[in-house]
Formats: sequence, C-alpha cells, structure tokens
Amino acid sequence: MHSLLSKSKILVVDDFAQFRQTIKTMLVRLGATAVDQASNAAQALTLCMGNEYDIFLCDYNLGEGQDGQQLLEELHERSILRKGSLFLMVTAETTSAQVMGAIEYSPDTYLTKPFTAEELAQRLKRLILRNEKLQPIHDAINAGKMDKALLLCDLVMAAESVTRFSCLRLKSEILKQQKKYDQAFELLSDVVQQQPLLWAVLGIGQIYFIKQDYENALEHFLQMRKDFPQQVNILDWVAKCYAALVKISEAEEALLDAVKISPKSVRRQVELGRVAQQLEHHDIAQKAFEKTISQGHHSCLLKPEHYKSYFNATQAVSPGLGPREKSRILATCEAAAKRMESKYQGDPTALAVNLSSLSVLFSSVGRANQSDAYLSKLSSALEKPGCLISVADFEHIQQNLNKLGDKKANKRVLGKISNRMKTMKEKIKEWQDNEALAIGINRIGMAYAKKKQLKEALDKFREAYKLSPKNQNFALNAAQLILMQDEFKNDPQLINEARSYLDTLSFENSGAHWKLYKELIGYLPDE
Amino acid sequence: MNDNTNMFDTLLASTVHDMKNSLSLLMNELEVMGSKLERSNENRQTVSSLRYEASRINISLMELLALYKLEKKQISIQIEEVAVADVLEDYVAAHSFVAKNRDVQLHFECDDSLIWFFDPVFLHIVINNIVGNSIRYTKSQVIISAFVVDHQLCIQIDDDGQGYPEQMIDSVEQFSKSMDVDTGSTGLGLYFASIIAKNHIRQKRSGDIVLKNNEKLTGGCFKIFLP
Repeated sequence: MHSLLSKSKILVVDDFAQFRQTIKTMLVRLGATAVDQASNAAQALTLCMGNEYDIFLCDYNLGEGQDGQQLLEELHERSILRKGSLFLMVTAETTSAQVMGAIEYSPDTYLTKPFTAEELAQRLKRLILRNEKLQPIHDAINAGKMDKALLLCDLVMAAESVTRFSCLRLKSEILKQQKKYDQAFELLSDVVQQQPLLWAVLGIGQIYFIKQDYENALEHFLQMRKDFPQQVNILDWVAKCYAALVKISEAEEALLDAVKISPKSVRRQVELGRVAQQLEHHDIAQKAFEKTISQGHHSCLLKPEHYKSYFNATQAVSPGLGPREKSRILATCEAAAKRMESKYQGDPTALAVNLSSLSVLFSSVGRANQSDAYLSKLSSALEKPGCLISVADFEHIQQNLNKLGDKKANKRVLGKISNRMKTMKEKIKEWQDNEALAIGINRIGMAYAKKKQLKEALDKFREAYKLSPKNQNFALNAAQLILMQDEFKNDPQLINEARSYLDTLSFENSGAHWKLYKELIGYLPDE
Repeated sequence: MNDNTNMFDTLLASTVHDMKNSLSLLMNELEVMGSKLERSNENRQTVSSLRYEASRINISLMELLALYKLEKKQISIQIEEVAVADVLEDYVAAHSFVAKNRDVQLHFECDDSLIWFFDPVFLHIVINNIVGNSIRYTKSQVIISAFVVDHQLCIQIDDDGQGYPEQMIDSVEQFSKSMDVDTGSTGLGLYFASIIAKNHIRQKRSGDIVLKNNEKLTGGCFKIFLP
C-alpha cells in the first residue's frame, strides 16, 4: 500500500476542515506524500488547473456552491479526469448521492462516513489494483488507439474474469465512440439479458437516440423511468426524445419534474429554459435561466448566451409582475450582470451582446439611468480591439439598439455606437470574404502537409490565420504542424510561434479540438 | 402538507449529515487514540468498546434512515455487478480494529473470480451490523463466507459464540421476539436484513435470510440469500 500511494497525487475536497485533516492524516499514514486540500468545488477546480491528480477524495455535500457530483461532471467536461484516475465520493448517508448523480459520470466508488483508515486503505488498494488490470486498456484509449483497446478488453476479460463487466462496459463505450452502433447494441443487449444493469439499459436507449430512432428511444426511457424510479436523469433523456419528436410541451413537463427533484444541474436548467422559451413560457424560462446563472457560476457549462437568455427572459416577464417581485428579479439581474461583467472582462464580444440586452431590459422597466449606464459600457466594449462580432451577434445588438432608439435612450452614446456598428458591418463583410478565402488557403496547406511539403504547408496555415484569426482551426493547424513534426519542433523561434497561436485559442468545451489543443499544450517546452 | 414532508426530509437529511460528521470524528479519534495505547494498557479495552458503541449508533442510524426512505419510496434497491471477494474484504477491514482488540480472529472465504448482482450499499449496512454483533458475542472467531448455491448467492457469517436462541431461529420473521433489553438487541438489524433480502428480486425470485446454529463453527450462523 505504501508504495502504491507514494506515487499518487491526491486531492481531498471537503467543506469540513476537521474532516479534511482527518482524511489527510489517514492518507499520510498510508504512505501518501502529495495530498492537497480544497474546501469547495471552485477551489478544487483552480487546483486542478495547475496539478494533475491521480486520486480525488471528495465529499458529496460541499455546502454552498457545486456539490461533489457536479464537481465530478465538471472534471469530465473539462477533460481533467483521465481514464484511469480515481474519484472516490464520500457521502454522509449512502443513498442521496447515488440518486442524484448522472449515470454517465459515476464515481469509482462511494465511501460512507464514517470510515476507518483500514477501510480507506482497503478501498484504495482494490481500486488501484483493479485499475492496474485495466491499465493497458486505459492507456490505449487515452492514446486514441481504439482498435487496440477493443482487443485488449477481450484479452483482459479472458485473463481476469473478475474484470468482465468493467471490460464489457469499456468495450461498449469504445464501440459507441467508433460509431459501431449495432455491435454496441448487441453487446449491451447481452448484458441486459443477464441482468438489467443501469449502465447497459441506459446505453441501449442512447443508441436508439443516436440512431435517431426517437420513438423507440422514448419508449425505452419511459420504461426505464418505471424500472429505475430514483434515477432523475432518465427524465433528461425522456425530455430529449420529446424535444426531438417536436413534442415540446411534453419535454417541458419532463424537465419540470426533473428540476423539482434535483434543481442543481446546470445542463438541466438550460434545457428547461430553452424549451420554455420555445413555448413562450417566459416565467418558466426566466426561473430556469436564473437558476442556470446562479448554479453555474463556476461551471464551464455556463456560456455567455445563457446570460443573454436570462436577461431577455427577465425582460419578457417583467411587465406582468407586481412591484415587489419586479424589484426582486431586477436586483438579482443586477447582481448577475456584475458577475457577468467581471467574468467576461477579457471577452468584449460576450460583453457587448449581454450589455445590449441589459440596456434594453432596464429601459423597458423604466429605469433609464441604468439603461444608459449599460449603453455606455456597451459602447466601450465595442471599441475594444478584441471585439470580433459574428453575424448573429451583430444582428442581436442591432435589434436591441433599434428598440433603444425608440425609447429615447442617450442620443449621444447611441450615435457613437451606431457609427461603430457601421464600421463593424463593413468589417464583418470583409471577414466573411476573408474567411472564405482562408478556408481555401487552409485546404491547400492540408494538401501540402499530406505530401510532406511541410514548409509550404506551414506558410499556407500562417496565411489563413492572418486572414481570419477568429477561425481557431487555422491556428490549431499551424501549431500542430510545428509541434508534431521533427523538422520544426526543435526550432525555438517556431516553438514561440506555436505558443503564440495556442495562446490565442480558447476552448471551453470537450470535443476533438479541445483534446488536440490540450495535447499540443503538453508538447510545449516549459518557458 | 407536501411542503411539510419536504421540510422534514431536508431536516432529516441535514441532521443525519451533521450527526455522521460528529460520529466520524469520534470514531477516528478513538481509533487513533486506541492505536497509540500499549496492548496491556487497560484503557485500550475501554477505547475499543467506545469505538464499537459509536459504530453501533452509526449502523442503527443508517438502517433507520434507509428504512424510512424505502418506505417513502425515495430510494430503491440498485442492482450492480459486484466482485464479491472485494466487498467481503471491505467488511473485514471495517471491523478489524474492534476484532483485534477483542482477540477475535476475523477472516473471509470466497472465490476471487465470483461476480454477483446486488445492491452493494445496502448489503454493506446489513453485513456490517451482523458482523458487528457476531464479534460481540463470539468467543474467538468470526468467518464471513460467500458462495453460490441453487442459483443464489449466499453470504454467511459464522461465529463460535453461544449461538442464536431457538425461538429466534424458528421464527426469524417475528422479530419482536428477538428484542432483548438486557443485550440491547432490538431486532432492527435482522428486520433490516430481511427487508433488504426481500427487495432483491431476480427472475421472480426474491431473497431471504436464515438463522442457524452449529454450521461452520460451533456458534450462530447468519445466511442471506440473494437470487
């Protein structure tokens, strides 16, 4: 055990300082040398930016803010949890966490408080040993060698029959990722025939959904709802199916049921907000987006457009409200606006879009001074050099400006913005032309790269990037070429160039681009 | 009315959370304290007893809460695939401190490759309680074993104590009879075990519990069958 833990970097997350210390003491007695502590999810995420942890010991209940399950989901979303790292969820009582969690992201094990040092040691040892058996498969998956991973699943399963279901589960995930849906379906059906395990039953439903067989998917998830009554997140899938079948009211109903049981999920609140918006149920949408903003404060799932939806929905509901309720939701809005402004300080585009909505909102409730204040901020956001506005955002802002024009907003500021918008419109036209051109040039670059004419390829990527710095593909291509080719990767000047490309990029999401980006960052030598 | 129930549920959950934090600290401190004392130190026995009593409070608390939530349909049995030897190892680890202090040998017997389908969370509570009691009443030994018989998993706990009273074995259903103020046995553990067993249903068969004497060892024997 001593040697097993001495190599691991461990993070303990608990809002209860004394308990954190107890666990740390236990771990140190078991041979751990690198144990960090965090008292909440936000702190944990910050620590994860600078450290790669092998083991997380996290309390489910973290007081205010995100809970342990949300932290787990966040770690997945941000690709911080690698295949093979361990997440142990500590719960005060055995039953609540299991119920709330998304099945897609379950921890490696649950530990119920109180537990002894020996129990912790036992559990860790077992998980580490199990992981060792699966390590070759995890390595192959992390390296993107999926065919090899599949083969290894069969080998490991044959050698260690106790890993059978872990291997089958991994195998079904790989097959799904490879879009071999029929094979995955068959595998999962076999498992379900032996025992209707939650992950397998869920997997079948997901495959129906991916194959756009929404009728069967819906029927499947409705049945699941009966068989696994405590799994709230099945309702999310039910809603997804209804939405895909354009039964929006039914989707809304399912999501309303789900948020009643478990309101903390950011993704769920966003979905509810969206369907309610479609149905023009502004009060429901307003509440859902308000929850999205408050729950999602530290979450990577919270996007600038959610603020926009929130401000717009608030504007839509405010005429029907009594004075007290109105001043409450406006006060909440103001607080959210403040956080939005500090959150997107470096993103003038997001600022501009949201400030325009805010200005309209406060003008519509008769608070002209506040409206003008947001308008001035909008003006300065638009002046910032980094403000690159898409066509859709441009139109959104323009529409809002038109509304404000009718409302006697500050003429001087409005005039200034209007001039700025005119230049922007020309710029957008130019960008659109440049973008088209750049895509063509990038394509030529790819062809060069294929033919191993690397210098020529790099020049083309540079050219494409120069024409359209907004399109992240070009910067990514240039950086990839430099960092992954022997010819370039030792040239310090080129390395710096690659670094500057990567610096301009920002991905909040998971996905292929994000993975590549992370990988490339890994290739950069330390400064 | 609905709101009142919700209030109560929230209050219950947060109070239990708080109580468990206190119990956690208590148990850990006692364990650390106990491990620092010499084996011959007479206080060591006291510390071990305190630790044991704290864990009994904890188990009863979990059982009561689980029964409440099962009754209210707030939770249900969640079947998973379980490597049986692994969980038996956990049960032993959870009790090794107290067993050592009482000079009780505690070990488990199970095929390493055995996989079965059950709710590991509930089974953990069930077995913890039974093993805790066995350690209390045994003379020198407790064995936890698991094997498949007649397409059911049997987890069996044997000790070499006095064994279960005859009337308990005959009517394991009527748990009120097992209430004994002197020993502090309320029957909750067995009642809980039987509820959990009956809630494990597979291919129209449901689980069960059985009490025996003089099976593997000369004392009591508890069996839980899971289809």
